[in-house]
Amino acid sequence: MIPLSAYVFLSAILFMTGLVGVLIRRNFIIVLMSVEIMLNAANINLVAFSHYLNSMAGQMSALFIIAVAAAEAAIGLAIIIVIFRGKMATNVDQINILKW
Amino acid sequence: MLNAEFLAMVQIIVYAGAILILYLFVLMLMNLKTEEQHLHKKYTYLLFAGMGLLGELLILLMLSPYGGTLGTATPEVILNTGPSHAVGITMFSDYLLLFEIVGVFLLGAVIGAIVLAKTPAKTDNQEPANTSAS
Repeated sequence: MIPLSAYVFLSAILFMTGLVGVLIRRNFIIVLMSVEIMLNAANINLVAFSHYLNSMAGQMSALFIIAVAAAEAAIGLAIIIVIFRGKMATNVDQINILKW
Repeated sequence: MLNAEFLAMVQIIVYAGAILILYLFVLMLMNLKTEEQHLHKKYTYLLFAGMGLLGELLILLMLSPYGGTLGTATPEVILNTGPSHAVGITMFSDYLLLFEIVGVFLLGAVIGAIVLAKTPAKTDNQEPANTSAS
């Protein structure tokens, strides 16, 4: 029987990996991948707590998170393609026209 | 597997089959060059501070008691009919409205992605005409 804290520990490590990736990477695609890592860390937490609290709500939330993550990847990659076609930019700090 | 075999298979199918292929196609289209230095050397000491903060957060997390009201879906109940059956029954009874909303949401997202990534047809048709006329 794996303790619940092990899952929480794994999820925290995955979430920190994703957060550091979002913060220090400049490439669009790697930033999006890090966001996916963070979503999956949340999924691990939800499924683990769903098992240990005898409830199906966590698994349902994880399924819906997977659906939203797929939609987010599709939209994000489409935006990346549009930006790359327009400005030939692949880094997030090259797109700063929204900056005040 | 935490009685979530269905979720594990969905995860593998969605990520390996859909998202990974999407990323690969975009990487192929973009033809990336080598990445430059992404972490300045003078900020490495901030990394250590961040690691200390993370360790403290993890210790607090490990020390905190987990609790909550227990539900009715015990592992015995789930294993009686199988995880996929339990997921299906729950999704199409308690979460039916959310399921429909996610369906419409996915449709909108896919249509939006196609519209965004579509090559603009008008400029592609006009550019060869202009160059040939001039």
